Amino acid sequence: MSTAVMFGSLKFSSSPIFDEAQVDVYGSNVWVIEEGDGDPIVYLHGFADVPGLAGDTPPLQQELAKKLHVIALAYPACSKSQEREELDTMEDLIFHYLDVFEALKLKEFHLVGSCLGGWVAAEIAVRYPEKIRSLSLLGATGLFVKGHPIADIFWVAQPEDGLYYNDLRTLLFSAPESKIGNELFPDGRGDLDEELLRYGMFRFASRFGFSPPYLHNRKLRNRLRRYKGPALIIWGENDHLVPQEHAAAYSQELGNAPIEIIAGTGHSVQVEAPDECATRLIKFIGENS
Amino acid sequence: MIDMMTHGRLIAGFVVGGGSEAFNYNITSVKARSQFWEGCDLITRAWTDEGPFEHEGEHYPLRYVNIWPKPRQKPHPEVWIPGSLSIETMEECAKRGYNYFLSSRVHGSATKAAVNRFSQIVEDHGSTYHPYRMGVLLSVYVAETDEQAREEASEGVWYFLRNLLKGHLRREGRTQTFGPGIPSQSKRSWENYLKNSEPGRDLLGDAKDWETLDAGGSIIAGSPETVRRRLMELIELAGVGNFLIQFHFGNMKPELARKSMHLFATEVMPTLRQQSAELFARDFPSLDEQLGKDS
Repeated sequence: MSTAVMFGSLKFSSSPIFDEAQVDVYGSNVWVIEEGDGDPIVYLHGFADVPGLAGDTPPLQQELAKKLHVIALAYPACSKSQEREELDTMEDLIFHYLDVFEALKLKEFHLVGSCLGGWVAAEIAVRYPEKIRSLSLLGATGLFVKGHPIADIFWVAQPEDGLYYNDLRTLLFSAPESKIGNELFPDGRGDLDEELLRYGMFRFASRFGFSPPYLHNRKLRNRLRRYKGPALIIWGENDHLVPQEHAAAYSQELGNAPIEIIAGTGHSVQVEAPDECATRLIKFIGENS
Repeated sequence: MIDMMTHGRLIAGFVVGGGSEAFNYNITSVKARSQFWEGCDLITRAWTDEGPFEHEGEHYPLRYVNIWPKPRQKPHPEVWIPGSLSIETMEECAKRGYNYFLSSRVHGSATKAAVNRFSQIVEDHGSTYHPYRMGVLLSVYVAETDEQAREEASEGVWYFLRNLLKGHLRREGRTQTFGPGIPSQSKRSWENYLKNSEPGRDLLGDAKDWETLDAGGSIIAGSPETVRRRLMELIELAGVGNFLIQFHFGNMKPELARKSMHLFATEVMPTLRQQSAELFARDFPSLDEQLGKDS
């Protein structure tokens, strides 16, 4: 089996700033967006920043790339990454990322994850702490916090009256009328390509997060002690999907990691306040390089 | 066992399920189809193969499978799979020689379009379409006259539409059939669905008046003559040889449903059978041979 990294011959290059490529990982294509110089950071996205949905490159990555070497990876079934039917569990997904890191020759890096990406990042960090220079979690799912369940995003992803996604926007953003929320998750039928980007993300998320335990792993909390490196927790003030108690739980288990609450934002803090997030991430990663 | 008790008249209907099943049983829809088809294959193998055998399935690994009694029908009872036009379901049916029935309550030209799609897929899989490979789900009420049929059926029909179609075949409320939160369809199938559907359109359960329902053709109420004529029109248009008919609606009194079924069986069905047989013999010259081969 060959591991061909195709950065030399880009298949797609629609962004003038960012390099984008499909990287062949043991026969499965993974969509990678890469830009900037400096320390490598691997970014794992959430529902609201599937690459391609908010423009070719989501705004947070653009801000981060001004100072850092950003490598954003689209999950299987998301963007131009191939869907992998054989992935069933978080364990499978982590093996997928081991292959991806190997293909990209990534040995040590800063790891940043939003939403579901935060969960995946934490699961990687507890298993391979030696790879992770710093861990940043934004509105991360992944934990079980008794009495504060993660809300059901799959239920509200089904439209009301065939047209309306108010409840979905409530979970993903500060409020259903959020401007960015209506751009990314409009009522009715959006552009076909964007509909498919959203659908692919839901296929991916349903694969790992639909069945109980719902968008989390009960064992993760105890395992967080395995990661002893620097960590930063960023959360939206009005996160209706993952309650703030989860930020506190992550912080507690990650050596009292600092929590940054971004005022006026909801769950998708990475697209609702990309500048504020970038400032904090650049500072934190700079201090830990 | 049922096939034995009915002297080989069992038709097995397997349904993949949608949101109600996914949410109630906590099973991700992404895996639903692969689970479903593995289940279908396991059942048909258990019907036909001498046991005990080992089923090396991804979803239902079983060391010993050995059922008794085997069905009376050989090789096995007919299998019917409902679908709402998704290409994958049609493909999987065609692969296995199962029959497909359209449960999405579209009628007239939309039924014809579905038949065209399925027959093409059947041909792509090296077989030939004939009318008994497909069926249509619809509702029928027969009474002595058109007026009487409407009067007797109304209460039950409206009860059914208003109270029993929540989340399914209805625009109003939150749909639970399929969609981003119930992503059982592949991206390819979903793309096809998006290209061929209009969001927020009225579905069966959204009908506001009897005329809309009647024009839709999914609920047919009338005299034996009217029902016969309308069903025959559908058979002629679409070339479908099976109907799965709902005779009871909502809170309809059982005696009315029984009366309607009796009228259907005595005054509609015999003519319909005869006329459709003549029609199919003309339009599908090799039908007898195909049925002989299939059964």
